[in-house]
Amino acid sequence: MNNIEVYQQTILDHSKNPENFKILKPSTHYAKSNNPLCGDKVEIFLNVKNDIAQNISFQGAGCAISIASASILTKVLSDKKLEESKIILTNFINMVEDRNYSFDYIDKYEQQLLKTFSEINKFPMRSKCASMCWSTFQDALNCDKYLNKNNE
Amino acid sequence: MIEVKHQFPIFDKKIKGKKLTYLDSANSSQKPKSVIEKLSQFYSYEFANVGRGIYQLASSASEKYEETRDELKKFINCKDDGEIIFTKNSTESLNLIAQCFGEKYIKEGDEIISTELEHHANYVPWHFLRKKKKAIIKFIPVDNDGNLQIEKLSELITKKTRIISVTHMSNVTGTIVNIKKIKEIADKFNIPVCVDGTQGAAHLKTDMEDLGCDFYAFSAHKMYGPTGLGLLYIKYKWLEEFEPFIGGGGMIDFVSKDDISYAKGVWKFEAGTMPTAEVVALKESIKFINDIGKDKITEYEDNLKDYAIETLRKNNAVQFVGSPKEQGSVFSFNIKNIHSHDVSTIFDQDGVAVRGGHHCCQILHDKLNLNSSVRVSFGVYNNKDDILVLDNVIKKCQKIFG
Repeated sequence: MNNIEVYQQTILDHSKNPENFKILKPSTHYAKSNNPLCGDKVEIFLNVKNDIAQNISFQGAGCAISIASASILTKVLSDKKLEESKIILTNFINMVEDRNYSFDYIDKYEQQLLKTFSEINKFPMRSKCASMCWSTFQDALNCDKYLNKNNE
Repeated sequence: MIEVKHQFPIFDKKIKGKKLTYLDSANSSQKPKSVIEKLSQFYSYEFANVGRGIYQLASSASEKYEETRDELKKFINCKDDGEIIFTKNSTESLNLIAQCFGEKYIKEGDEIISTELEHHANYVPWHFLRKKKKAIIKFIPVDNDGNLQIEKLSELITKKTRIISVTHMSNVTGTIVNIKKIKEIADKFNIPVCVDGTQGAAHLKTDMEDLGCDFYAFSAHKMYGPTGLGLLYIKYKWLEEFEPFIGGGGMIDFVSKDDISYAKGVWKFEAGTMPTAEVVALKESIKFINDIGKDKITEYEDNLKDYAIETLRKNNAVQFVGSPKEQGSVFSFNIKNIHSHDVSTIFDQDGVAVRGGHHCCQILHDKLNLNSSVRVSFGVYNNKDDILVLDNVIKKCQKIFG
């Protein structure tokens, strides 16, 4: 495993030109988070309508891995049912934390995008970079819970 | 040229097949063989808990423990009016001061003066006081080059200023703070000065007589010594003024069901079993530094730092974090458009150890409009080859992310 492999072209492309990198206002769901290790920040915005996550977007400052991960999240989870999003989210976190995971239930192209991060578990110090926006998305789905957490 | 690398076993190890280029001594320094062997020897043949047993092993261990204290006093030129307390780390030393001083002398509305350069270890403990006592924290600002604007200290001082707590040397920009100048101003108002010497102790002249500060917190592991051991210089007058920091065995004088009296002097602050082997082995670290000569180490590391900055300056993509007039052997930078954690990961593939992130200095990064940075810091084992490796891995990053 060398650096070229972890920084696959997909990650480099998405980090340089992230998709849905914008503020969505108004939005029905929102959360922000930061990585205490490096001070990176991410904010996730989305509209939930009929149990479907729409127009997911993000803002933030971070490393190539965190920006690419957020970009890919918005691409894969937009227009999916919340139930399905939650399953993908759990499996994504499992993947970066080196546990069993599966993306068999989604289309091949999306699987490929998500698996760009399948090697990140070999860099334990960096798995948080890939997972932070995903757990922030989870927080956004539980807006109330997030607000409470932030007020602690 | 100082040739000591062979005394550090870690450099025999290969990282991903490459030799180790260790540029993270501001985080923690590597350990020479003499220190590692002393730890092993003490545990193997000399170990007993100190200050308790009457038997020979215990009394001899206690002697060794105190020998290190005496060596440390010489090392920082602390005369009869000062003492050394052993703690867990620099952070604990600073917490001890904030808690013991704050408990007695800080009340609602009182002011603490710190700086924008501080490591979180010299901010969070004062923040606790802000929360608990409704105290106010003020910051001496830095300019864009990372210089501390000491000339602004006088206007920050009011009748409510109770203590000034500043770093000796920034762990991000390497800025060296003129403690004597701060002390001069503080003296006019009779305000005590606490110094975070975590970076300073390993790299700068640490002469307590000369600096004149009331407290100086530092740690063993940044000066080629063991982890788990912090140090605190304290002016003798405060030893009697302060209530104990934590309570337990070893720090008492007499205990009854109705009352407790505390031990005198430093022992009042060393409760429970201390990092005994670490204290004993620290004597070897001091010997290691003294054998080379502190001044010589400072000069050598400064030259390396200058050479590194000169080399990297030729690369237009390297953006330095400040450029202070007085700078120790630490500096930070970013490579244009590449995040510090991506840089650190690429460096690691070539065995280059640096720190990426905010280095526990979010206030400074905010002030300089930065999210994070890559930090390079030197120890006495570094040499010009390390800088050539650094220069090359920077170019490699640019190639990958270009």
